[in-house]
Amino acid sequence: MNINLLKEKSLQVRRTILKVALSAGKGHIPPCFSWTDIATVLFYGDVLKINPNKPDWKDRDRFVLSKGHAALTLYSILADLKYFSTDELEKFATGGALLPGHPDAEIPGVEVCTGSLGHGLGVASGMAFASKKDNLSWSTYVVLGDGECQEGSVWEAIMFAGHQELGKLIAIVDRNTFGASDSTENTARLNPLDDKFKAFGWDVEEVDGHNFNSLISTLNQANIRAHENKPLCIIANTTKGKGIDFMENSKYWHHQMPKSEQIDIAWEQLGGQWID
Amino acid sequence: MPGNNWGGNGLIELTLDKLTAQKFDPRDATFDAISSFMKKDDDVFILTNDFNAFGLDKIRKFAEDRVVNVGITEQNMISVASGMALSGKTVFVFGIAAHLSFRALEQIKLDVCVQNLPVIIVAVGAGLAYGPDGPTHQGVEDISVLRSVPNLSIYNPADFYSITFSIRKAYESQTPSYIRLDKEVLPQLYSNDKDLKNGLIIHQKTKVNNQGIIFATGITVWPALKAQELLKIKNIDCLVIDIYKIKPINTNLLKEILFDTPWAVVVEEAIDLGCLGELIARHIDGGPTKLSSVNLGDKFLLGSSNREWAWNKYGFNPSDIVNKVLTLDQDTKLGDEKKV
Repeated sequence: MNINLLKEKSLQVRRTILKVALSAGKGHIPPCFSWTDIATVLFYGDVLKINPNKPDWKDRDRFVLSKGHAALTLYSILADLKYFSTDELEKFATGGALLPGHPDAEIPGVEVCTGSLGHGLGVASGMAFASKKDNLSWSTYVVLGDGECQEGSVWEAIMFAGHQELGKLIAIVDRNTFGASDSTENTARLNPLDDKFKAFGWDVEEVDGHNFNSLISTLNQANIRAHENKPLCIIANTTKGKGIDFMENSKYWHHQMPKSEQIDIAWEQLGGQWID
Repeated sequence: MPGNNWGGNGLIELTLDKLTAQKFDPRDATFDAISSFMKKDDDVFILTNDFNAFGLDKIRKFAEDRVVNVGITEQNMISVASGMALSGKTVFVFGIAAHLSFRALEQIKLDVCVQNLPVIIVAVGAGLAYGPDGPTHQGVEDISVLRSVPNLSIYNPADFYSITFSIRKAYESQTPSYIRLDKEVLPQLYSNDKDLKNGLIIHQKTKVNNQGIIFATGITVWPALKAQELLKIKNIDCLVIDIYKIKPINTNLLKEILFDTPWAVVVEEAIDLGCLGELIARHIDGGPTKLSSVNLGDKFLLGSSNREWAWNKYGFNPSDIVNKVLTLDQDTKLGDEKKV
């Protein structure tokens, strides 16, 4: 998919997220929007080797969304790729529905149950470790929130992956600089995050998480880089709430729902229309 | 108890002499069993949080790359085990019970059990095995906590055969399992594993109706058995039941056994809440059985609580169990007389 189509797809995904969240009255719109461009390049930009017709294809790349609260991005893409019917999106977070607020592994295309922060990188490391032991070709991609990186278990996993030289493990940190209610730098400082990963034996690359040229280049080369004995951390500098100006970079927007005229503004900025 | 027909459960002949005749190391038994799987199955791995054992070193000699010391990182160890299991591996995880069960509880719940993965946690330090090391190391609350986690099987064996049987069952099931081990060298109770299929082992000298029961699990089986001998001298025939599998417990068999049991004593090195005593009480379910527990109550054991000290304080010694039974037995008989 070329860059213009990717941009349009990303906008389409954002519109789906907004629509589903508004219908359900539930969902984490700003944390979804901060990694939506990354997700678009991963899933539509020929980065992940996957086959929606065969979700359990044994040679597929593994993808783990560790920041499980941003599930609506993943759901919107998986539905669009026909891992499951788009009807399921309309039932999001309703009783008995396939799709809960945080992803579980009964959902086609979802590898791991996530939502409690600090688990995904460890599980992804286990996958990458097994793959390495068997000398298999597939890679493991995991998207972490930056606030999530305040969890101690994340650093246990970073140590493990560095020590075991898991070259086919790619961790993408959605560095929107916010936790749930404040900047990470005001609560438990993460910077210099790049140096911390490097000190634990990782390669680190930094990218603008909304620049499609940079994302395409970085993500496509992630698996063919020089230091194959090191896991790779891509710090993607992003904007929480990207695409809707009143949500962007605001500590007040995490899981709130837009109301009244905010809804119209949001739709206008996403180039769509809210049809109830 | 209709006919005392309990589906082949053991009439295991046992004397106190046999109790002291042969001893074994639970860790050696465990790793010998795991070793046999690893020789046949290249997808079996062991992870340890820098906790070593003689048996591990033996396995390293033929499968060094499949015994992985991940360092002192319990949470990550369980997450890694999950990721490996999702990628086709069967993973044994080896560490101390108190640490694995609490530090890595959420990883056990979410990373392993939600997805029903073949991760088998071998947890050393059941009950007061680490009693002198204080509440940081005592494994007296782990069953209470882990019982609440769906999909997780919990084994608490304390005999060579019940340990190797549990390890094998966990491996064959390819589902989440938690197997507690003592760290002491233990007396060998059984001579084979043919009576182990039902999750509990009934020790019975004679077949009579209306027998009381001493339930025990793990190391408390042997003071229970000794109490049974002492009670026999006082003309009280009772059963001892070794609950080596706590979850899922054999509900049908327990209900059948408890049907007309006048009294039961539950002996366990555990806190009062959420452990075996509660499980047995649930199975009495309005029946006539008077129930009494020997456990550690609802508080932490500070200071150096070795077994000798704790067993004296909390009444785990055979003579204490006998006294408990005599009181219960007397109460039961008095109750029966009142009914008449």
